[in-house]
Amino acid sequence: MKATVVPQLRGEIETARPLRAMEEKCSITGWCLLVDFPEPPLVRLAASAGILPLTARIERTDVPRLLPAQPAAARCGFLIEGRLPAGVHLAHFQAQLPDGTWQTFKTLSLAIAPTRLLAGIESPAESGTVSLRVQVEGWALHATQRINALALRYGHQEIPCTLGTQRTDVPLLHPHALHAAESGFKSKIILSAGRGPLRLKAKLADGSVALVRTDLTITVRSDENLGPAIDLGGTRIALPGHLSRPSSPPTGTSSRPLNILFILHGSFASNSALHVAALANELSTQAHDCMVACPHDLETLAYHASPRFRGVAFAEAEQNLTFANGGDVDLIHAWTTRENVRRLTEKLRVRHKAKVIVHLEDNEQEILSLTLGRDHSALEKLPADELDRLVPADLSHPRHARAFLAAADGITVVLEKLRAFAPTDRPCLTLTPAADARYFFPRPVPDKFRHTWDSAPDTTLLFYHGNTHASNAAEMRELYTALLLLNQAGHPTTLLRTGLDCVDFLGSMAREVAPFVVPLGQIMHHRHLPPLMALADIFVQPGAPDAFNDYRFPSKLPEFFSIGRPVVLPRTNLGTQLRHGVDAFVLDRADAAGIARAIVELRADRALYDRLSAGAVAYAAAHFSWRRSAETLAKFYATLTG
Amino acid sequence: MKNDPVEPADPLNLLRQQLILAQVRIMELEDVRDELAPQLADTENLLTSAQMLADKKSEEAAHLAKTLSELQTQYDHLRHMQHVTNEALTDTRRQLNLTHGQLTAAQQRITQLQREIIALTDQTNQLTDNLKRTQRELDEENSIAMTRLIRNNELEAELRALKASRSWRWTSWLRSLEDYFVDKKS
Repeated sequence: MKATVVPQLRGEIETARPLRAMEEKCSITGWCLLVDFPEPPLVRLAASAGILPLTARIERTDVPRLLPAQPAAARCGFLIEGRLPAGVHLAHFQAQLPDGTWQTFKTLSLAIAPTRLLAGIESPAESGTVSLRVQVEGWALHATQRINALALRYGHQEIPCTLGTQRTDVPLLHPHALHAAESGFKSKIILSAGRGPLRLKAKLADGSVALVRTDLTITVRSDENLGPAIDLGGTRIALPGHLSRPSSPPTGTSSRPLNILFILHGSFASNSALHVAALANELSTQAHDCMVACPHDLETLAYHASPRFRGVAFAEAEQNLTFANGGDVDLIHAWTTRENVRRLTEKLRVRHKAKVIVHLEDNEQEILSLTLGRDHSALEKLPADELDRLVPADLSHPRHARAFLAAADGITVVLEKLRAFAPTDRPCLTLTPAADARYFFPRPVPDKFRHTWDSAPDTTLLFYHGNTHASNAAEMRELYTALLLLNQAGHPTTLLRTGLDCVDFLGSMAREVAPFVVPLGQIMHHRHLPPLMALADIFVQPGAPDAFNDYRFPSKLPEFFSIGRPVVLPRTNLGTQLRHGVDAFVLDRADAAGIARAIVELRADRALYDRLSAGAVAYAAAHFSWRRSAETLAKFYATLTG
Repeated sequence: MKNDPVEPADPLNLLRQQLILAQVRIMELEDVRDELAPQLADTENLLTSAQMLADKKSEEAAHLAKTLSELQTQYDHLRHMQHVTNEALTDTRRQLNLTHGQLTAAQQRITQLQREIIALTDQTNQLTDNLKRTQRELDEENSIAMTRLIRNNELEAELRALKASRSWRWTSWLRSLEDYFVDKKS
């Protein structure tokens, strides 16, 4: 019996790998020959989604040098072009043998990107610059979906188009597209004033959006709404300073890393969350593993840039407290004595036998009194069941809080004065807040932007970020009153304000003060505040010594100081530690009159202004550092956990 | 709670507010862009890595398919060789069994012969003893016979001497008479 001799194939694919194709159209080159055969074989690309035949032969000069004995070497180059559906295919490159069968000589993956949108502009031109106010016509289609809506976009303009014009030529160009026959469009109106490259934006049947760029640029200088005085070709004056500073490398890692759970009383959008996030980030750089539990709105974790900790909802923390090393929680840091925090902490403390530290950042009794509108002593006299019913989950229960603190292994306070609420027999640490050094650093006033923005020359711009609630409503009213007084006295002053108003603190004054306030609402990402704060000339923290202010540390203060502007504040909490005229402008009471007087003085005395700007930066550098606070906290943890 | 900022009534303030909010929006979009750009690059790199891996695995699969084909051929050959070897082995086993039977029979025969040899050896020993005894008796008889032969020879010599003697010759007639009378009497 005579054995069958199988011809030997030689070949290679030369298109850059990995093989890719855009918009479902692929083009692949290579070479292939049958050893000792005079002619190169037919080649093709076979995939499960279809077969692409040989498109063209390509003469080769290199293959004959590589294989000098092969008679077909000079004509063995090939080109395969065609369309395949979007996706990742296994492409078998095959050659036809003399007996008619196909043999694979190479198999490669082929990734084909889908066709998003195909379009052509035909009127007023296919490419170039259009400055006439005309309608735009052309065609647009998607390979697999109907276009529900189409709009022209250029500069600041978006002009809707009418779709569905019958076309006979487009189906010939794109026979596989479903709606090619009705792909014609025309803009509903003539081009409006605007300047920029023309794009087509389509809303597809599945609700997704597809964009395609054209070769056309629109430069319509004016229209019925926009006169030629406004040059749309002008350079945009950007608000600078959006970029962050890189974090400094950690000073060292802990020899005994801990699994730490912080329990918040609010979402990650709260001020407390800023403190916890900063500490958790810093502790993580020291090799501790941090988890932060929040009672609601877990999605607000997205407002924090690059968190190094894991955020969990209370429910998840109750069910599963597994850390990266598979270990149990070593330490629970309960952020305040508020009821929701206390309840979860006590559940977890029993279950996990973890050390518990309670953090105090406010006079919780005063907040409860202000919120409920009842005197503290009256609340204390209430029967237990009535008090339990009155105290909401996000506030501190006077009796439960005392027991909670008494059972804690340690206490941290944001201010020395809060030690008055801590049991004397418990270790206590003062944890000074700071500002996120990646974003809060000395920033010059962006003069160009301010120039476009100021309504009058020599305007003083104040900036205040923070919510208004029952506890600070009165002092916020003082700030707004000061604003009114200043403007009435001929000192143009504007307040750039972010944050929410939880109570109506202005009443009839709202209309009067409105022209001097630019309310921005809540800025969701805290890191976006510093460029806005850089616009300000002076920062003001209103208020006066009282049962609320004496026991708090407004979290915005380190941020004020870090930017490098004079800070006007009352002689309470941090104000008691500052030197008036050196570190800040310290008022006995930061009420309307005091604030107005301070601002007038600062605007009149440039030397004082500059001294307090520099003093703020120096004080911030010396006293506010999350890195240092976290290192102190880590040492405190170490003393408690042995 | 008022979530949205109050819209200033003064158009200029409204414009200033919108300008700032536009800047905030720009910052948010820049953040999204800055987040998405590396993600896109990462995804692109992942796709490239995945494709490169797929290509490598595809080449390995082709190589393995070829190796499998060669191994299949070798396997088929070995199967054939196994069959042939099995046949030979079966035949050999059969022969071995036969030989084993023969060997067993031979061993039994050997045992039997050994038993017979032992019996014959006993008989031989016995016969040897008998032979020795007989030999001894024969030697004794030979000795006696020799003695008797010697005596016989002596007696024959004596006889011959007797018969050669004159007396014997002179008395022959008497012995003839005696023979005569003996014959007549019988």
